[in-house]
Amino acid sequence: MKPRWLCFTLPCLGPLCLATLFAAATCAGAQQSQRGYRIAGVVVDSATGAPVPHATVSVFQDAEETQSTSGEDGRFVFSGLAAAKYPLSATAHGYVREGYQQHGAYTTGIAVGDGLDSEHLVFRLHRQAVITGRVTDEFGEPLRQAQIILLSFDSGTGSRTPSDQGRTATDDLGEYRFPHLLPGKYYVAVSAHPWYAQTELNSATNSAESGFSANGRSSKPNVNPLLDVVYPVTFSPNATEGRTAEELILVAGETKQADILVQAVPAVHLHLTNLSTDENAQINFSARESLFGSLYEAVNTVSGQISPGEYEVAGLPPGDIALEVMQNGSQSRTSRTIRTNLRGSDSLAVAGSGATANVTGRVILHDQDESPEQGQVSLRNENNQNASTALQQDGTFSLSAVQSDTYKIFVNFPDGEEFIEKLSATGATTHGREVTISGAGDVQLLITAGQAEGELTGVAKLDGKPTSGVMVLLVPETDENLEENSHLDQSDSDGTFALAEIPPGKYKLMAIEDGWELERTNWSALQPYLEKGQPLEFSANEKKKVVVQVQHLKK
Amino acid sequence: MERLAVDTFRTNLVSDSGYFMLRSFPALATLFALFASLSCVMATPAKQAESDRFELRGTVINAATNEPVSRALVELNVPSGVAQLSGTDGTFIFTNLPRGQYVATALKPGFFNEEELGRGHAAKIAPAKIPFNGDLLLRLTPEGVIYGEVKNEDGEPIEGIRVRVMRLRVVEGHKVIDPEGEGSTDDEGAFRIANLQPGRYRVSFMQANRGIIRYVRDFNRKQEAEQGYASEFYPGVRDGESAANIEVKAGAQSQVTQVLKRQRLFEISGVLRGGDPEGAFHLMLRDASGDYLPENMKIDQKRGQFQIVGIPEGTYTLLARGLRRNRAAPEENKPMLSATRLVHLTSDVTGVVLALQPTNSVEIQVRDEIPPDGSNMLHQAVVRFVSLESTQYSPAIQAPIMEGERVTMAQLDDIPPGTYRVEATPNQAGYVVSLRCGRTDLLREDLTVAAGAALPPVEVTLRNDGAQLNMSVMDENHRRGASVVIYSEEYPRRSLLVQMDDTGSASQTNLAPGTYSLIAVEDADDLEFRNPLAMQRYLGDATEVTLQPGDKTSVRVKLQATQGLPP
Repeated sequence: MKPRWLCFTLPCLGPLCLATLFAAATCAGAQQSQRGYRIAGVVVDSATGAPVPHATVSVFQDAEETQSTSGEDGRFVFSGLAAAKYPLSATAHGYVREGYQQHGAYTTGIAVGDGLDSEHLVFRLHRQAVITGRVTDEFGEPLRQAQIILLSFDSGTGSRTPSDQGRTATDDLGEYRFPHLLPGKYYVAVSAHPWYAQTELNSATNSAESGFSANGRSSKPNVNPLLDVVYPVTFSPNATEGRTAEELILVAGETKQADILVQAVPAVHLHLTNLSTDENAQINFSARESLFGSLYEAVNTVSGQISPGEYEVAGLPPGDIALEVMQNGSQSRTSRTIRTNLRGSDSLAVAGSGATANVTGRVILHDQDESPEQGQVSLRNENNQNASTALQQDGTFSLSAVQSDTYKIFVNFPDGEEFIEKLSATGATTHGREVTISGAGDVQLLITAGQAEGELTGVAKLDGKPTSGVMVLLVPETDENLEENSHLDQSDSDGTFALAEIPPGKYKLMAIEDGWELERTNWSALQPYLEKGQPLEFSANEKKKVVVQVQHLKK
Repeated sequence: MERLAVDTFRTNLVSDSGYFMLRSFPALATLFALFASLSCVMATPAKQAESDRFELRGTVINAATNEPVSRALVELNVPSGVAQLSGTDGTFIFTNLPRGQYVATALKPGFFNEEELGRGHAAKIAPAKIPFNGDLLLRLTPEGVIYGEVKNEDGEPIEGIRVRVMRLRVVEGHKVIDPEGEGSTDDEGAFRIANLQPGRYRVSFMQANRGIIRYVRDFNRKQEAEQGYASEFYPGVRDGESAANIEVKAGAQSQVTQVLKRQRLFEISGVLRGGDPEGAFHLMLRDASGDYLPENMKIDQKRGQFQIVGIPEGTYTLLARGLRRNRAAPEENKPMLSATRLVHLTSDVTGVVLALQPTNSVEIQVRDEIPPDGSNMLHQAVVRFVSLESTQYSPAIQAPIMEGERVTMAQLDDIPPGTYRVEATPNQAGYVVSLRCGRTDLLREDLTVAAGAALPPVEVTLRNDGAQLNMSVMDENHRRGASVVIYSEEYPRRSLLVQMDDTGSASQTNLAPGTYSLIAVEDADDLEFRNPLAMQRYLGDATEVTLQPGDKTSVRVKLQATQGLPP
């Protein structure tokens, strides 16, 4: 199961933010149990098998946490529980805070009820790894209140996209600490703004701040160039690019020190042209800095208009950035994301100078001739350049000055992203959910958005017995992007699992023991298991229940 | 040679400890006030020839050690604003400045400049008059730090304890406690709270996973006795009044170790009556030291049921506030209902019935005895209810309300039950002759507001035939930064604090007739001049003066040493 508490604890390590998030949650209370089932077991060190005394073990009923402390023999017990499935977590001084049999965002939920054994759990707790360090600025002084980002790459997906494992801030000594880490390979980076920096526009007249430090009190720019500086996101020990970042490989029980030295560099002033000259248009900018070419970190900038259609954005770091340009006209709201590598102050034409097309279209809902009243449609090319606009009340949309390229179409409704069931175009060619626009001219799109509300529940069995902790994977039958289109769960203590939000289509279902070691987003890694995979076909919003045979991991 | 006031001041006082930063500085205070409101007027260099340009040299120094501060940002408020970082020797030079007066400010993380230290009065900021031939000294006071660790009885670190630091200070003659910083213990039980100005602080500790409110339909009695940590102050005491006051000096680090004991925690549960099923209510628990603690609770809005869990033994006030929906105008929902209950918690308390009652309103009547002067000015007073149980609540209203040329009665609504200090301040030149609520003389006594009982109006009488008092401080060497307390033993709440000017004198008009004790001190920042207990020890050396209506009296006042906060 994918317990809710994990969604909270992973991005923020501080227990304070936990409290805030839970405070907002409203949940139905758990049923009062007359029979009173128990969850009991022993907490042991994952390496030595020795009992861990004084461990804090928690069960969660909805968002409500109940804690218990393990005894000198590592034993813990919760009693008076109603028949249900409970996520379980544990931590102890010097250990990781983790879910029961946790793999990434998945844990084994403990099912309690008649005929279920929930009293002989062995909770293997991993000794923590710790990363600490000190951040120093270019004057050798501690950098305080700097944001430290902890990153790692998920081995299970073999992905080159790093994931954000947590954040913390430096104290007045410039020091930070990430405790409770699982052994693995990490990177740390610092995102900060020089405390003394003064970002002002060189040429623009009307400025708008997106961050702090802009001293807008002057009418004439008179900034000391030594103060018009930024810190690029910097990895330990002093790398401003992911590829030269220090790899921090930690084993259980290890503490590594990763100091970071930041160096202020002149801020880049970007001169943007070819923007809307509509007097009523409101143009806003939001810049993000690239980490490892994919993850993005927000940058505080100052921007302002120079003349109609011409703007300046100041306070940018050199390097790879994504600049989102939002134009709020009287009729429409469009946004474009430009990805570029900044070397120094430069001029950039937002709409490009090559042939552009005007794209109009309409979004309709599956099986209905109706259009959604609210939503957004986005075109994204291979370089992740993005153009998007809000849907009109009749489901139509219009994007001007779209450059020739192949784009993937995305549709978002207020309650989440929808899948594209059908796409047709006049003035352009389509393939699946992609549209290829070549040359100037008008393009018309008709997008059918379908709901992906299919659900699959079932039991994973090995030799006829329900098996807990196995990886359950539903993959599309056709050759598609596995990272985007597969569905994943871990079986709970009674062997059950649940997958949701499945779009219509043909799939294969696999349950693999110790499957978490597989690179599951790689078709060739899955090849040995596909043959015994269980074929399933989902129609729109279909709910299915199955028994799946567990396969052993093939080495 | 033109030397800056700040510079002269240093030569006077630099010998007597590094504490001179905190002393008052009247001449500059006056100038600063002018800057705050009229900065554009102050910084108006005359138009002149290019050749008529000057340099401004200076040094940023650490106020505690007198050592230079390198890499401080120095800003000069010339019209377009210029800034630079001080060098490794703390020095800076601004060039090409036209004639005029400028304010130079130094900034650096971990330090406070004079403006940041300014407490209500006397921000000590020096304008530099250009041309300026000296070395302009800008002082930065280093921060204090409170750090330490939290352990359990077995000596093991406790992670995730929320640590709060509160500063004790005096505002308008009354002691107040303001939250100043917050941190949380790490896996080693360590915490560190920096950026503290010199002053007195209390430190409190509480479990972090508190303040979770859940709206549910079903309540389950917990099965086992809950264990946890109680909220505590350093050094291991439950109420704020017994807490240690930690003196944090400029640049100093204070270490604190707290041992928290796991203890039995209890619940309070019950039901609210008299609420609006379609409205909403919320509950608060106030501990004996007047602190509202974030509690974990379950609430059923429709049925009025509540359950607050995880509370340590102690005496608490349970407060409920209800919202009654206005069906005719749903936007005008007002919190209009309240209930309070004192709870002594030594075991689980269940079945509490809280009856919500409409909150009190009080009418404010101003009796204006100020003779008309031909202008159409309305004579008003600001009336404030300061809750003595909670520093977080002090509603105020200006009375009477101006409405065209007519006078409308003012009414202060939604006053929850409790004890209040009621203050009235006239807006125009005048004084408060009397301030009453029924039989309560609010110039001397606190007002108790009981649930459901109607309050008589608060009556304020204003006059402007008060006396004028001209004061000067006797001790010539120290009178520059002095303040004088005009203390009334009869009505301590009428007492005033007057800042002396550059020559050590000041004048106060419209004093209520009566007898006053005049007390001059160099540093009045921490003087609770409206608290008779705190003022008792100054009365022996005070200058006494009795004033009749319309008097004009001049008095010389002897300077006394400040003795800090009373225990």
